[in-house]
Amino acid sequence: MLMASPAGNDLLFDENYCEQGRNFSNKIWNALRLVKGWEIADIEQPQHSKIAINWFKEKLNETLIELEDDFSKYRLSESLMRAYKLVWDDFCSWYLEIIKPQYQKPIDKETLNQTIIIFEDLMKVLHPFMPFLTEEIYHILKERQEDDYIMLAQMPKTNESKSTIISDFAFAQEKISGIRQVRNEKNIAQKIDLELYIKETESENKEFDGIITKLCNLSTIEYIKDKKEGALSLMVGTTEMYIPLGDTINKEEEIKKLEADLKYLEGFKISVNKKLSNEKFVGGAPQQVIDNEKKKLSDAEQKIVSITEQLKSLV
Amino acid sequence: MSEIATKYEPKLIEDKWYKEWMDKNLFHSEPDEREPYCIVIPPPNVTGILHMGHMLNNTIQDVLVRRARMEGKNACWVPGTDHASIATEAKVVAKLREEGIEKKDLTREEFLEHAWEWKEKHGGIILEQLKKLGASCDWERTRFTMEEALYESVIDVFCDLYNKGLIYRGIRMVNWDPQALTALSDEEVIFKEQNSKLYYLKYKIEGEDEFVIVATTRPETILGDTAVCVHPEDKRYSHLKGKNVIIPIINRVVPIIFDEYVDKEFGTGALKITPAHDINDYTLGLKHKLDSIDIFNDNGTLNEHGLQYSGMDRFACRKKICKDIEEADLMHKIEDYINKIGCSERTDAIIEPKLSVQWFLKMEDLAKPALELVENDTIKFHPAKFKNTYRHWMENVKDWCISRQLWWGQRIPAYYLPNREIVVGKTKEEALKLAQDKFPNQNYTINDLKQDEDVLDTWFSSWLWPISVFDGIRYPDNKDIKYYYPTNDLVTAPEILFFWVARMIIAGEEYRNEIPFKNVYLTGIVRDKLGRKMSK
Repeated sequence: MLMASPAGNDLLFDENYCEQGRNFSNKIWNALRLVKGWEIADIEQPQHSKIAINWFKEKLNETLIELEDDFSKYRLSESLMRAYKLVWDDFCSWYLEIIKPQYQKPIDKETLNQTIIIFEDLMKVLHPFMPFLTEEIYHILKERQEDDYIMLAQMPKTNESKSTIISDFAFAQEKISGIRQVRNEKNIAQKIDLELYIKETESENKEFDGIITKLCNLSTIEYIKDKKEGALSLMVGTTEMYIPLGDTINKEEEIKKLEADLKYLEGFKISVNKKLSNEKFVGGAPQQVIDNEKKKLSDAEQKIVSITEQLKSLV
Repeated sequence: MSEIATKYEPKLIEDKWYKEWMDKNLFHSEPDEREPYCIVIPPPNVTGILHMGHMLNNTIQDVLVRRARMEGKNACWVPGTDHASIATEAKVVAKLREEGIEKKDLTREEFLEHAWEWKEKHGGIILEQLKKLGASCDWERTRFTMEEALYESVIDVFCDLYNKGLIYRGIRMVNWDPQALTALSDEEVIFKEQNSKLYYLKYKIEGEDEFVIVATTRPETILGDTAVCVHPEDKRYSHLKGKNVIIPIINRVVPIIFDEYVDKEFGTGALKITPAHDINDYTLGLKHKLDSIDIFNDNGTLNEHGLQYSGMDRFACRKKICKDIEEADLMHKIEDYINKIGCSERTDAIIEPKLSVQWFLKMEDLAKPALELVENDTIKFHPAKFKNTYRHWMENVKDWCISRQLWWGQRIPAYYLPNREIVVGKTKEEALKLAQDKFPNQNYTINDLKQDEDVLDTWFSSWLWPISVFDGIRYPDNKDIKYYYPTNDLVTAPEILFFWVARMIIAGEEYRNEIPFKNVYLTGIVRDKLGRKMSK
């Protein structure tokens, strides 16, 4: 509820807010059950977990600094939204997914310990907003001394960090999202391994490859000098990536789909072109609208080029 | 670990932790060497129940307090309730009526007994509801605006301001609520648009066959007319200088006066002047030295000045008098008309402007420093846009009518003497001593003193809240007030920015020479999907 109500603005009460709160509580509860459900084994800490822990600690630090700023300006709904995203997106959707051992496999001790420390810090951040749930979890995470309560605990300390891991990881996240999108669009089941080829650039950061491999279920990541023929290509920033689809998809269906897309885009291009050659429109519309139309046109043109190339590689 | 429940069960867990926090006294704060962080709760009505507005407001306070606690500060959130004079008294009166008891048949003491009983029975529900929300208030410090220390603080402040010459008695046009039988402040009046009629009445010019036509929405008030007024530059009426007109039906003769106040464009350009029942007419009446004839009883019925209409309700009288005017052929015409009518915030009764003797607090000099403190951001408003509203009010501040014709509240410590003089003292004994010193030859005894029947406006106690919860009026140097005051944040609704926030700032300046809080967080109003307010 608080989230929808910045200082001084009226709030429209909606039962969905209560539901949103309930869903959030359940999300955290399920995360707790996941973490506390892992068996511990004396195994080596995987590299991707190590990196994930580093990344999350930086992310937490960054968020804590932003929260201090929010509170100093009495932006309470923004601060809650920030904490909510940190827990739901960064912790549950990214961090836990990375460190999660494979089904019915144990976790290494170090990762689990660090995860519990992180979980505890997150509960402290959330405590002012969700006092009961956080106190309960604080006591489930660890055995506590007689008078140890989260409500009396100190907020995690912040530090001045110069690390670039957050922006570097953000780029890896974009790569992952891109690959996941390909899986979605092409209807490739999660359990099927994919190969990823990346056209190597000088600034390529390979630190997160282990994470990308895990989260995208890749069999390999290879760096190449030239374009990979016969593979689907995608761009993330200036990085070109290739995924050979081989027999993972139905060629005929794919061709049909691409041809339909192509037809639609060409029709779209014609209609935008018409608009832009209409003097009345160009003369009367605000510059922003015209720029917007121009952008639509160039986007469509780019897509047409890419689809044409994909079709060529399939036939 | 198998012992973690598959689903989060809020009910069990909430009760468990709240009890444990309370048992371990974790919400309690005492002054120590740490930095203090303090919030005083906007005291809810003692017999009220929690609504969505409270939920939002108190959640915000809890977030701020819990965060401050986790930042290592000595956090103290002081809870409490407000006696809410008019609202509570109205509830008690209604409850007694259900039992067949009328307030007027009870003595003050008997009524107050019923009121306290009601407070004991229904009071504190709202605080229990706050506990369910998880509010980390220092419950040991729970205060009530009518408890002894706070009552006494209010009386002390009244006496002090009276002695400083800031409180005076005056005849004023007040907003009278004929149902609650009390005066209301301007802020307690809500204006509602209503379909009314505009009646054009014919006033015969004395000694001539000509008429002046006057438009009014309240024809029954002709009974209190003492003049008809036109604009001095209105050519239609310039020939009427020095003439009189005859009021329809009752045939009383009143003068025609000339004043620029009249809007030539409205109605016919001629206005009836009823100084006892309209604030503008009252001002004109003072200027032109007109009589004022009060035609109403306190409950909105006509008094003896209503002549043949006396005893009738004001609205019944309107109907009857219109009929009589029509029959006398003195109704020129009737038009439909939409106007805004003031209604009581609490009882919804239509307000009757009424002349009465009330107690007032002079505001002009008190308001100035309080405006400055917000203008220069010594006290910050969040969001800052409310500074404009605040400034507007503080620059146009009117004297504060602090008396209420009620019994549930702090009774005004003014005593009337047989020689019609007034003494103000904290107790009857103190007042007697003052009376004896002032009039040594009169040999006054305690039975000669008659205390004012009225109580003080509820805001006259809540404006001291951040000080009085720490007993800082009676004991200005006690360790609590010195440690926790000024408080840090105040979380409240913009609609009581003037009622409460501004006045706390004034009281802080006057009694501590210090601001009451550093930041004011103004919440929104919680509305449902149809945009209706969810409080009340």
